[in-house]
Amino acid sequence: MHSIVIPKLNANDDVCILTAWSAANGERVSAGAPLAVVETSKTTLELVAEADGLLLRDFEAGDEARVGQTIGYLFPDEVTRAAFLDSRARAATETPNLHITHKARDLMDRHRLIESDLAALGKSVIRESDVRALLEARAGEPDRGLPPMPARTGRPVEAIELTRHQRAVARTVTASRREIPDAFLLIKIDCDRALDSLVATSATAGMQIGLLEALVWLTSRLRNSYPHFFGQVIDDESFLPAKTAHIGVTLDQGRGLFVPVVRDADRLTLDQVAETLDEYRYHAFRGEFEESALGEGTFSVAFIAEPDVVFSVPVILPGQVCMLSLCAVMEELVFDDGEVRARRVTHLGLAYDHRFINGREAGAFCRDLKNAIESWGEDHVGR
Amino acid sequence: MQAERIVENLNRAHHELFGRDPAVCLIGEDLLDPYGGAFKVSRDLSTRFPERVLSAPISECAFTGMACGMALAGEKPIVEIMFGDFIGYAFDPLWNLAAKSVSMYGRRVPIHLLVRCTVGGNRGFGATHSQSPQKHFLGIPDLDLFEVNPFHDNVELLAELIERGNPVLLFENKTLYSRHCVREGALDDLFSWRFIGPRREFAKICIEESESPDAVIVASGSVVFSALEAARRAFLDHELETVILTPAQLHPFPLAPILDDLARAKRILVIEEGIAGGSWAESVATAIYSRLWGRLENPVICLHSKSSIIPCARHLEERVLLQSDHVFEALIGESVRA
Repeated sequence: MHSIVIPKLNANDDVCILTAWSAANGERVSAGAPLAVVETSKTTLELVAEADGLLLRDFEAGDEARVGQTIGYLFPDEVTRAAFLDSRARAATETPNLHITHKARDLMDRHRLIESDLAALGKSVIRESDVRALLEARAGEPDRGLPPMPARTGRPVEAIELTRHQRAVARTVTASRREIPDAFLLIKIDCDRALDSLVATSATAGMQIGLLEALVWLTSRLRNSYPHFFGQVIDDESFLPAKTAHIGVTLDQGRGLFVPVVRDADRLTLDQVAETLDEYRYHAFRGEFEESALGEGTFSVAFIAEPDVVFSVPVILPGQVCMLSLCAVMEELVFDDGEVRARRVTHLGLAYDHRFINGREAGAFCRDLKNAIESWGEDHVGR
Repeated sequence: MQAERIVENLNRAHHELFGRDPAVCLIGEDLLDPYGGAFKVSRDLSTRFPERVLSAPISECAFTGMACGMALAGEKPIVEIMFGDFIGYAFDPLWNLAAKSVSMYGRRVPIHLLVRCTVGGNRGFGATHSQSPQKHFLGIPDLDLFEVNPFHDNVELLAELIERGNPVLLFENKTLYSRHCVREGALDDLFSWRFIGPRREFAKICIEESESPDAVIVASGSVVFSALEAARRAFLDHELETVILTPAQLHPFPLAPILDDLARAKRILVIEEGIAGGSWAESVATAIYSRLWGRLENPVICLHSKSSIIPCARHLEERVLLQSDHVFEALIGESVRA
């Protein structure tokens, strides 16, 4: 059984109007087929079926529905649909619409009372005192034996279901953990020089260009030296070297995790990489991406914006071979020619599929990035 | 059949007022059809009354000042401030022209000016499109403050406000627009409500009338819904009985109709989405102290949003703005922890 839930349609509306169903009650619909048209204060939108199944319509055209509300269901076959309707009809006759406080519920449970026992009270709001009164009234009655406890099935009502977006994230990371035998390597990078230089670069470019932008740009330029790092996994024993450096970057601005892709990063200047990421940050903030921005990555970078995070093991995206993580910049003291001085460092992590990459190459790859960042200079502005 | 949405109710209020009184007009930004205003309050108004709807450039000071002059000349202008965050520009004409004009000419000059002002967050609109500026207008002589809520009918309210003779600021929380008006009686499956006060100054919301409720929440505008959610939880989880009192008029605050309810409560909360520091909630609390000192069982609790800019990201915005969780925590307070 699949629930048809009203998604968050825009920033303004918590409710929408179900304008029309696009499929009949009981009709078989396929995943991706139009299901219903809903109207918000701004526009009308089409809901599509997320699964195959027989439709059960719980809302009528013209009804108002809240975001997160279930307006219908899709069932795999007629038997489950009929069983669902049957059990719901029985539940409706058995349980009146009661509001029972926690204290009242505790007392009921201790005395094995069920909701139908409360009917004698003739109340819809049940407090502890009501249950106590009922118990006192029954004190004189002969022992009724122990009625069965009401069956608890399915998820508890307090359970929070994952959003559709987070379900997709869950599927991806589960597949990765199941299929990819990953290893991890962490390297410390002195980023004083690069950070100072990037301040100047940002001022010239008129936009924020930081370590992330530099890393994406630098990484894309390693494709020729490390073709299999940008490869696509075919099976356990083969992979396809990538002809392009489409580099995905993790972005999460509270609207869910996205990995939009900077396409052909090896052909872009540093400014262009920064422009693209700037645009993606805005989309991540809105929680809206064009499908084309999200696909076909050949390499990915996880950026951990949280201060003081030392290292993070990225979960390699299925189909790719490795993934970098860039963590916070922090200060430390170092001995430099017998003198103590402060410097800024960051940690660069590489999770890699050990079937295709060994520690030696992973180390070399990170060493190349480290060297490039530590010797960052004017020739790196990428123009 | 559900009652109309608050935005539809406000829209109808304009249409009825315009149809009845040729002196009424509307001035603001982006009001003309087919756009019909940023929040659609003025929908179809410019089509029906093309001569009486003026879409002005972004110039809150200029068009509010113009409306003040029109009101002084006997017209009845309504001003729409699209985002209350920019009403700062209109502060001077309201403070020094509209409010002063009522009494500074040696005789009382009625000023029929209504400034409607969209306020509030929880929409991800960020630091400069989400604020609640009510407190900045508190206590200006002859400037009256009102706020839209789901209970008071805006058709009646707007008709009353434009005839008031004092300039009026009407705050409209933007999260209310898409909500439905509710008619006296059942509010949901648990709560019901009725008007109290000789002039129906307050909506009183409770599960059932009680001699001494555990708590009374004074809440205006959209935070009524935070109060309601908190009251529901406090009842179901802890059997605490809460009464919610919602005024349409923020200032001057009509205390008399609710004095009895306040005196009987074990705990009083005054809540708002604005920030503490010369706030509406604090002024209400002060008024309560001055009348009920010695009879209160507990200090009045004022709840505000955090003193912070309002972030765009919704999960961060929720941490800054007053939410039902904060109200719930304050409701259960020591009575449960003890």
